[in-house]
Parts: sequence; C-alpha cells; structure tokens
Amino acid sequence: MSSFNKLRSEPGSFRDRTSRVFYQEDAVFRALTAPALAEWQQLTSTNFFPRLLNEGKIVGTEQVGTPSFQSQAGKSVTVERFSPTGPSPWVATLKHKKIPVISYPYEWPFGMLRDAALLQLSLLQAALAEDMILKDASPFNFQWLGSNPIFIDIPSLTRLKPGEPWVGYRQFCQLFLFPLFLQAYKDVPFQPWLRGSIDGISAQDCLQLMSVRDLLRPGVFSHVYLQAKAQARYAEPIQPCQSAPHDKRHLKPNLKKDLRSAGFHATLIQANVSRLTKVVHTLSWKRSRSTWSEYTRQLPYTDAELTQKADFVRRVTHSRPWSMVWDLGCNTGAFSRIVAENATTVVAMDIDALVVERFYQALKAEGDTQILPLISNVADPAPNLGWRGRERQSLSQRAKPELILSLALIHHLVISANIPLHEFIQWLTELKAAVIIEFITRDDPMVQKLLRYKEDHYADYETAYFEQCISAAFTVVERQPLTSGTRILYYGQPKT
Amino acid sequence: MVRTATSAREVKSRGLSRVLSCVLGGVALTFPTAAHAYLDPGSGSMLLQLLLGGTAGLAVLIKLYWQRLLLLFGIARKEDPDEQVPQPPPTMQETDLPG
Repeated sequence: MSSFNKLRSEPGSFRDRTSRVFYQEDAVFRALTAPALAEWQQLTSTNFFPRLLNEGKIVGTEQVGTPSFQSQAGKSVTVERFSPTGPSPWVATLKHKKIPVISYPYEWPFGMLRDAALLQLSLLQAALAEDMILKDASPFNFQWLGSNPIFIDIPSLTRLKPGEPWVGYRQFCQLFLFPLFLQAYKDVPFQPWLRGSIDGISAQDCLQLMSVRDLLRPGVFSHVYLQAKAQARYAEPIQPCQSAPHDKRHLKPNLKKDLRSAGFHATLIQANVSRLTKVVHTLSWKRSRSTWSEYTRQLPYTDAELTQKADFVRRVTHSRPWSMVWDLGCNTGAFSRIVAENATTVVAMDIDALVVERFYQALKAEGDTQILPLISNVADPAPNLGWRGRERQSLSQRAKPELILSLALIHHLVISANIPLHEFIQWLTELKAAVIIEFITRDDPMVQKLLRYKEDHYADYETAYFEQCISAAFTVVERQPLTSGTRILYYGQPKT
Repeated sequence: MVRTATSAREVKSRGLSRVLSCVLGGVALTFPTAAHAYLDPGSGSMLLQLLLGGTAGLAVLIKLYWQRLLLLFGIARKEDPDEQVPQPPPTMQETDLPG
C-alpha cells in the first residue's frame, strides 16, 4: 500500500516568477529558479542573514534536497510538476520552518502593522549595508509567532544592482505607511481598507484624507503630498509613441538607467529608510475608549462567578493538550491566557480594534509566543480574497481549531447580529472542534438590555431550544450554571 | 518647542516644494508626452527618492536633469546601454547560474 504524500502548491505564491511555495504534509518548501538560487547563495554569504535568523526575525530556512512523493501508481514525481510548460525551471529547494497560523494585515491591530513596518525597515538597513535589498515591501511578507513578527519572503532579498533606486518604496507606502497614517492621524482603523484593496491605499487617496493641518505631521508632506504629485506628473503611457509604433522601449527602464548614470547610490535609499523609520516610530493610535474597551471594569459577574468560569475553562484546558484553540470575543484575553496553559497556539479574536490592540501590547510586553490576537467579526469573517479567490484564505482554512471558546458571545450574535441560533451551532459543528459555550439566559440584565430597543423576534433565543441544538450537534460533557443562574457554561465534544 | 519645530518643518516643506516645482518645470521641457494616460505611477516614486535622499539626492537630481537637458540640446550623445543594465525578467529557459 503506497503512502500518498501529496505535494500541494500554495495558491498565493505566484506573483514572483522566480520561486514557488509548496507543501508536503506539514512541511513548507520553496522551489527556486536559477536566478533565485544565485540570490540565495549571495544571501547565505552575508553576516546579517544568519544573525537575523538567530534572532528569530527571519523565518528559519535551509537548503534541502528536492522532496518527491510517490504517486498511486508508484511513480516518483518531484517538484518539477510545478513548472508551467517546457523544461522545469526549478533548480533548488529551500525548506522553511512552519508558522503555526497565517494571518493577514487586515486582521492585525494597529501595533502589529507598525511593528511589521519597523521590522521591514530594519531588514532593509541590514541588507543595504551588505549590498542587498528587499525587492518588495509588503506586510503579507510577515507572519507572527505570538507577538513577534517574522519575515518569511526570502526571495525578496536580492542583490542591490548598483545605482538602482528602492523599487519597493511605493509599495511600502501603500501597504504600510498610509494605512498607519489613516489610523494614527485620522483615528480611522485601516483594516477594512486593506481587506478591500489588495494594493493598499494610493498616495492620491491618502492625500484626499489629509487636511492642511495633517501636512505638518511627520511624513505626510514628503511621502503623501510629494509622492501623489510626483506620481500624477510622471505617469507614463505604455503605448509606443506614434512616430515609432514598433518601439518597445518604455520610459521606466530608461529612468532606472538614467538614475544610475546620474550617480544614484544606496546611501540615498538608506537616508530615506532612516527618515521612514523615524516617522513610523512616532506613530501611535490615540483612541482611548471604544464599545468594548471598558468591559472588564464593569463585568456582569461577581468574583465568585468569575472564579467558577475560570475553573471551568481550566478544567477543559487541562483535560488534554490542544494544538489550536480559538477564543471568540476574547476582549482582554483572560481566557485565552488560561487555555494557553495547555495549548500550542491560541488565536484570540475580537471585533473591537482597540481591545485587540491593547491585548497585543500586553502580549508584546510579556514576549508571548503562543497567542495571536486578531481583529475578526464572527458574523463577517475574512473571506477568500485575491486572484481566483485563493490568494488569501478564510481563517478556518488557515487555522483549523481543535477547541473553540464562545464565552459571553452568543447573545450578541443572535440578538445584535441577527444570526439564527441554530445556524451559529451549525457553523461551530462544521469546524469539527470541541466547544465551550456560555449561554446567557433571557433573565440576564445584558440580554434584556440588548432587547430593550429592538422588537423581540428572537423566539429561537431560549435556553431549552439552545440545549436542544447543542445536544444534537455535540456530546455535552459538562454543564454548569453560574451562581446567578442566568449564565450557563457547556463543554461539548463533536459527535464523530 | 513644538511651535518652532512646526515652523522649521514648514520652511523645509516649502523649500522642498519649490525644488519640486523647478524639477517639474524642467521635466515639462524634456518629456512632452509625459502628461497623458495614467498607467505606471512608479516613476514618480522613484524620482521622489532623490528628494528624500537628502543633499546627496539633490546632487543626483541635478545631474540627472542636466544630462537630459544636454541631450535635448544635442550637446551630448545618448550612451549605449552597458552590460550591467538590468534585462527584462528572465524567461523560464534561462540559466545563468555561475560556475
């Protein structure tokens, strides 16, 4: 009986033609073309690359032999199957350390995008000092181990061609700087914009958002105003000029050549990167209150009930080791921390951007490596996006949970977000995970508050009906009402 | 003091703005077709790096447009592309692996 280890290509890895990511079982590989291999060899001979690998700022990477797998017919098939046509362009393979959870910048709180930007700029400085550069500047090249950013796009590190400008500058502004400006200067969270626009915010759009007062803020005049004006002025047609219709030369390669012969040098890039670093350092999000930021100051629980709830979660946590846990509606993350006692990775999600930002800053101060705090709306989670709807995946495809915490959440989903109760249970069932659900009864003051200004169409929001749904979908292993009687905890295991 | 810093930044901003205006004026002489269809905004960002590169960048900027002005007036010849000019992205069959 032949074992069938399938090689799967990463659907989002196609824009850079010089390499391709693929997976075999749980391992992550990257096939390299000959030019990419030459860059890799240059990279491994630098000082900064091993140093940053050791510091955990670049994802662990090593060159390996090309993996193969047996097809069902017993024939050995190697990575060559990923060449589009003709002879295989792939000449070498790298193996990357696997990141437990892939996340995207439109799920990150402000602080995470800012810290990824600072890492991008410091990588640039390190590379430039040794005649290399990062050819692009995208937050999608960064992932997280807990609250530590890690650079994952190794082929982005290439030799700096003499006299060439920083080609990634515009992308850095559109995907890092302008979203950060939007939130730091205009107090508008950037996540919806990044989710909606794969290329980020253009200089022209960012300029429209800035007032005259904002032009005086760090970085706005140089990187927003001047860049928007320069881009408008230097926009090029790609049609050949009329006098030479077959002339395929474009203005852009000439500009690069002219810049080089005019003496453009890496020190100019370093000067710009230093300026950007100073600007990003000054950026912070100053919002101090939000819908959910004060929740823990006025908890609807007595101390005794909080202890009961924590004990319940802790019992489930230690009943077996968990590799991946979701905490929906995590707020300050108290229960994420409990479950992290016996889990490899916890994805802590909340709809409130300020709450997630604060949780991230707390985790960062502790140097946590297990909990990934993300902004996510259970009723509208990040969908499949990008080319063919496969470039960016939904969370359930990226981080399959073994346990889901839904504490003090269901009443908001059913009553505020109008999700039918049985559909919420159905959604949980499809994730094939164990669940801890806290059901809030109709007697509870919070539920009554939610219903106060709405017409009560929520006949499905009843304890009996809830218990019927959950028992049909899960084996309820433990049920515990808290002292007040209006909040009931359930631990359910999926029915096989 | 914040007020002074703002004024200094204002002065610097106005200075940069004037430089950019001169540059734009110079470009208008040399690129008569530049103002048409918006398709590739990368050039503006690349040129901006000269201004953001400090005084060294300004020196490059001046040299860049001096060369173009000379070309326009027929004083200088267009240089042949040298061997280090970046080629278009390699095709799949290209193998320039050294050794």
